Amino acid sequence: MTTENAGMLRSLSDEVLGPLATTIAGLGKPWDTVRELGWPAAGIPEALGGGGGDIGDVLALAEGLGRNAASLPLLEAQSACAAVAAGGRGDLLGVPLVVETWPRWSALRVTSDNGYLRISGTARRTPWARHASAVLIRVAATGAHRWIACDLPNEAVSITPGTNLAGEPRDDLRFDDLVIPAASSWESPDEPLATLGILLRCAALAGAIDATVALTSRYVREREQFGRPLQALQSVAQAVAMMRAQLSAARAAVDAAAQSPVSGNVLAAHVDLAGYAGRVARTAHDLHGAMGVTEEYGLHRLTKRLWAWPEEGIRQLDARTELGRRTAAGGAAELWDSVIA
Amino acid sequence: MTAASPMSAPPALPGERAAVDLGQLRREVQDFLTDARASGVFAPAVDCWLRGFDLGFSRELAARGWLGVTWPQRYGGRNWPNAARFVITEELLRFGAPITAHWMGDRQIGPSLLRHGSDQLKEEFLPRIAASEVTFCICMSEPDAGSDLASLTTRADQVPGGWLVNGAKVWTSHAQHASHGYLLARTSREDRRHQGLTEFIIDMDWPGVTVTPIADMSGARHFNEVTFLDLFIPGGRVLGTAGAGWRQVTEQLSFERGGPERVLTAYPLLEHLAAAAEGRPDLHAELGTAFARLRTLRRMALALTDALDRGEAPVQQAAALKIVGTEFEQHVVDLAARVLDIEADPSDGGVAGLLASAITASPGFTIRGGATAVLLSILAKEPA
Repeated sequence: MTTENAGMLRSLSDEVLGPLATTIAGLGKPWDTVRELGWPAAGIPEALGGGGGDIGDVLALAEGLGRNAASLPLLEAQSACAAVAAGGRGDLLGVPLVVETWPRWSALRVTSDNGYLRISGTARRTPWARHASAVLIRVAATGAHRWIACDLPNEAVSITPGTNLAGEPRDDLRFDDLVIPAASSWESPDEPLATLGILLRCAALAGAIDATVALTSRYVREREQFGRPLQALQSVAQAVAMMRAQLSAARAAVDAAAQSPVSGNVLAAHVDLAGYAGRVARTAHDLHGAMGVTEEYGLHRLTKRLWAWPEEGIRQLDARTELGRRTAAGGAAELWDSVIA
Repeated sequence: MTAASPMSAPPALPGERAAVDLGQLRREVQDFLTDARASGVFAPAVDCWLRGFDLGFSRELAARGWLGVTWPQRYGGRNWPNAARFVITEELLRFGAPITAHWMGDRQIGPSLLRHGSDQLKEEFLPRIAASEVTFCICMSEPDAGSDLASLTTRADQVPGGWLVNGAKVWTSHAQHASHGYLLARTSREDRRHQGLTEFIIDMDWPGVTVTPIADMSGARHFNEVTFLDLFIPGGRVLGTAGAGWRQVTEQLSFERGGPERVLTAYPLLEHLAAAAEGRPDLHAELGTAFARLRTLRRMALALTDALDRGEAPVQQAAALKIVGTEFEQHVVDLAARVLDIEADPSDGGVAGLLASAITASPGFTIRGGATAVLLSILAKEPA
């Protein structure tokens, strides 16, 4: 893929991902298509084995995934591919699916042993692990934060399947004395958060909010009660208008983080989008009535994502507290610089 | 006082904006405001753009070349992009500086004159607004025409050489200080009430203009009633086209709506919250949430400014910003009232007084410039 503008990618992603909205979670042909398009390695320089393009392209694809509620591990693969490329492991870009996992330090025991790393413990809620050919485990070992690449399936790794609200795989990985050559690990930037993964999730949330507002606008235009379309009722029209204002803000939240995607800015987007996602989901269901909660009608595929995603990567309470802690530490003097950063 | 240096860039071609080093401009504005605050020229206030009337301060800004910056040089401006005005404005707002005296002229009357004014009006007023020699008030709302502006009844009847005005305006902030006024009046009765409205520029000391103060609940005297009894306006003071006032004023309101003042009105209180939260982990989650929202809103305001520079009139995005932005401003006030270890006290000169002024000013945030219910009706229309 060469650098394409975000607008083209937007329509292309609707074309490719739109038909997948109702596919049962899984890989197979849809994932092959996405891989052939080079999307998992988008944003990674071609010299490093990636697909080229810039952060705007990657965010456009992530937004497209959310807008189409597509059940594919695109975001997870994109952030894992970025970690792989940063570690000079271009070989891993060629495997069908690499994902990351960020186990709690306390849940993992890592020891160094004669050029090998030995790992025991659990990494909970690892996205799409059951389908992955490799997992990157982020560990604190030998004094630094490191990525360890582990091929899957692996006899020292057992997988207990789980899913999020939207049916996306979130599996527990249990490492039982997994032994990896230390040379298969590399230092990861000392960033305490999964910054890129969370930023991509933010873009996907904005996409899902966009689709939810569009679906609701259409419903209140077509659905008639009291002898006229629902939107003729002023309270309904105002509720839709408020959703549009929230969508506008959701997009700005992603833009603000994308300008300078360091951890504080990405955390802020993660926190702010959660507010819009929650309110848009509630309003959309209110306006759809009982139709909106049926299996057949598509709204739940979007709203389940609006409920699940804000709590993934880092829990909202933790993210808010961390942002507030940093803001308080900077005090009034640094507040403004952080606002406009 | 010397002018700021970022205008050392080469003169721009017609239709092109001068290049400005925005980082340098921001530092110059920050340095000036830091000194002015430290030396007691002003104390940071909430709602400083509506309640901080200080002609001397506005003239100080004018002397530095920071007013009317987007206007052509021949009209006292600097032909800078809107992004430069944005930098100046957001710094003034977040410092809580007293900027009311030049606010209406710089934000909306100047741009309106540029779009619709005759050459004579532009030459007469724009340089004097940029120098803060004249100050404007907005005579728009009436006792029976608030959100429903088109129902206004103040009449301007054509007479030889001009117009004769009779009627009353209300909620006109700082009419008692203003040298000039913007006036919207009905000049003909048409079948459609959006037709037959005309915009005028008046001198506030002309015979027939009476200003009567209306105290607000904080005791502040910014509101006024302005009555017109056989006020004569010369024909040259029509702004734009007679009868086309509705279209012109709608544009003016959309410019008014989407600025950083819809986000930063309560910013001085947020600084107190940030300071108070050190050593108060129980406040961190709420502070973090407010900080996150502010980053988003500031980005929305900046994006609107960029749209203006591209020549767009993003009416819907401006309405969205005002809805979400003023909701945030009120939230900051509520949060401060709830968690600061101090009770609001209007007689206090410190934080307690700041909080008191913020609480009593806060209902205005969602009313002026288009009440939220009205803005929602704009957003309810299908996006273009």
